[in-house]
Amino acid sequence: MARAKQGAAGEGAPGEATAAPAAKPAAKPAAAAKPAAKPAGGKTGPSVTAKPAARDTASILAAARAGSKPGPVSKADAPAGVKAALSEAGRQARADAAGPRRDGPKPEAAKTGHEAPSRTAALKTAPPMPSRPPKAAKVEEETGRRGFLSLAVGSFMALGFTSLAVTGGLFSLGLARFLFPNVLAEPPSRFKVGFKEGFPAGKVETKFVAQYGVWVVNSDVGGQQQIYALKTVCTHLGCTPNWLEAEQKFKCPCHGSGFYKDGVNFEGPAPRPLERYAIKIADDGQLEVDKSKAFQEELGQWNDPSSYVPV
Amino acid sequence: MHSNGQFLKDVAGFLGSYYTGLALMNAVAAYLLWRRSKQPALALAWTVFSAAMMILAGLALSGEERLVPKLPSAVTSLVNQLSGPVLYTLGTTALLTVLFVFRRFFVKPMVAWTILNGMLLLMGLSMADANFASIVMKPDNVPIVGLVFLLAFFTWVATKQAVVNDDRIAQGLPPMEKLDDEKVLVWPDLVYTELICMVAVSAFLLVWAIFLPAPLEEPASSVKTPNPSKAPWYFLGLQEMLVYFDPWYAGVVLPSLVIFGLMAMPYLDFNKKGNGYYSIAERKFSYLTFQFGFLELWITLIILGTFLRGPNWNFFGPFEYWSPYKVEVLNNVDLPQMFWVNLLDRPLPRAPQGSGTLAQIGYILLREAPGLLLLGAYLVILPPLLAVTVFRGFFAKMGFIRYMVMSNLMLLMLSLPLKMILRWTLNLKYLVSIPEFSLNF
Repeated sequence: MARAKQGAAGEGAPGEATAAPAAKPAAKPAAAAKPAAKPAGGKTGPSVTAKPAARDTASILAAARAGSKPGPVSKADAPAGVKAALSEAGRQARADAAGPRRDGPKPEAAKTGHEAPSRTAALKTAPPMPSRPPKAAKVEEETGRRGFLSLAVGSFMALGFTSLAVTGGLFSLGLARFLFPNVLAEPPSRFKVGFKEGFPAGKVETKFVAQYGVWVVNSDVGGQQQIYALKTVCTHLGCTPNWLEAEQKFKCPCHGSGFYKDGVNFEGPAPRPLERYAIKIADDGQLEVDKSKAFQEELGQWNDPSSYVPV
Repeated sequence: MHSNGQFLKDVAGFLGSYYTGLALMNAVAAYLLWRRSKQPALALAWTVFSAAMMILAGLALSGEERLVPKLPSAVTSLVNQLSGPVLYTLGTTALLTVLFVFRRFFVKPMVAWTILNGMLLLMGLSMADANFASIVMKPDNVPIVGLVFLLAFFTWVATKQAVVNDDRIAQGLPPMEKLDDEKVLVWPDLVYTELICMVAVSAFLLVWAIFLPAPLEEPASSVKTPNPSKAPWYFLGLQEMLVYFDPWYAGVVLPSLVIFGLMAMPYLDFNKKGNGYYSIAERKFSYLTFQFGFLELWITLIILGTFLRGPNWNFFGPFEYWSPYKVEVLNNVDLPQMFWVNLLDRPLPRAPQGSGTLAQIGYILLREAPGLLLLGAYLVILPPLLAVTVFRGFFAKMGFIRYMVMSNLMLLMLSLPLKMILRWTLNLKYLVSIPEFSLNF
């Protein structure tokens, strides 16, 4: 059943267009088509390696030409006038070619029955004959041995594709599950860093960098001693700068941007100062950094009292 | 850094085979000169050189501090002191200019062979320096050493062809490529060649991967950036550009412009000559523009980024230890700061507290006026000026639109070296700096 359908799909469209593809299968079984095609494509240089391609191209070209005026191509253009017969020629030729490999009567038996005999007849006599009524025995046979086979194959196919679809669906669901992890590996956005006394004046505390990405600095900013939390992301391209104690600056290893202790950029390509996170004194007296809020100097946000804790 | 004596013992085997290879190479060259070219005098000279290399190989194999051939420390420290981004860029530009101007001399095979040997010998001598070797022999950097030599070779071949063709064209003869105009088939000629190359390169890469394994580093962490942090070698030119520009310009706009410019080339090029053969004289402008963009603005920056940029992206001399504590005093200033504060001695124009968005934008534009005017003059006024002076012929042949595209592409390409010079001379950070909208130039 599936095979007949495939054949119909393969032949239907080209048969409608021209005789061109019909000549292709015809040339396959019959070696007689080769010498017929060769003179048509005589101009293209027939080298030894290029031969199979040239034969194909030539026969296709010749067959295409046959659509307007019949020429010496192959047996495909013999019943050139009848469109249906043309497509039949190809189909018959393919069936012939497949004959030796598969069981003989199958192509005809597999077809829907009442049309098949008339089509083979169309090849020999140009006008199509009225179709014969289907034989009862064949219908019976279809539901019998062959019907069982096609049902078995079909059901195996159906089983296979169904299980594939189910597996695929489950797999994609499982993949989608990965988008919603049970555990969030991120540290909380609010965390306590200790008491004020732990941050002496002029100190840049680097121990929170690895876990939270924050420097806690106690420094003099514009005449006021402040404790503030700087985000450890370079404002140029997002690398993590290093605090160089000896030079009293943050230095980025990627493109050499440098920032003063207060986070203001002074060398390299960084276009703006480092950002601050919100910081406050929690109820228990410890300093608490809130990473959900950032303060940018160039927008005048460092004046915000929640961006620092006065000492 | 381990002790120098131990280091010399470690590299003794490599240096010994390096010099032996050099000696063998020159022995073969001498033999060919003697038998094929019938030039016994030259053959003798290269035999002597080959013998000298054998002696150096023996000395290097000893691994003794006083025997291993190396550059005198006076030379290495002088090179370290002199080298810097300015000298490097000016030096490479000067070198490429000399190579171009005297190309007729440099394309002679014997001259090129001498220079190649000189380069290899210099590299061998430098390799006895621990700091130099640690950078050059790093598995990551070996391909770039190969690239330098390969690129030099291919540029030399092309230049040689071009010089020969230019001479022939001057005499009214067809170029060399037109003499051997026989066509070959893709299959099998080309495909077989490609297959053989594929097999050979695969085998070579396999051996390379076994002997120089890729470095395995610690797991990546978003809060720990390696120092120095380097892009893949082919992007080091871009990384070097990023030192001088804002990320959106050096990382997005300029690379796109490079691709756009390369795509626009066939539409901008009105010169019908030089099609299918090498020639410099017939397409001097195209040749120089391309080689400047490729060799000077791409390759030398890759070499700079690979070998001379160390921790914190500081510049290090070729024989200098890559210390992460090296201090470079830098203080870059934006143009508005220079103009308003340093020149006019006034504070930067700043919108009063609580003013509306439009007023703020107005103040920003006023603040950035000098930079914006300069940029406008550069990109809008300069092309017409060039059209009536230097590029008069170009303008006539190309028409308005093609000329404007060409001149603007060229000016934008030149913006990189100009910005570099401004950074070195005036410590200028940005001409236009609007961090409020992440717009900097």
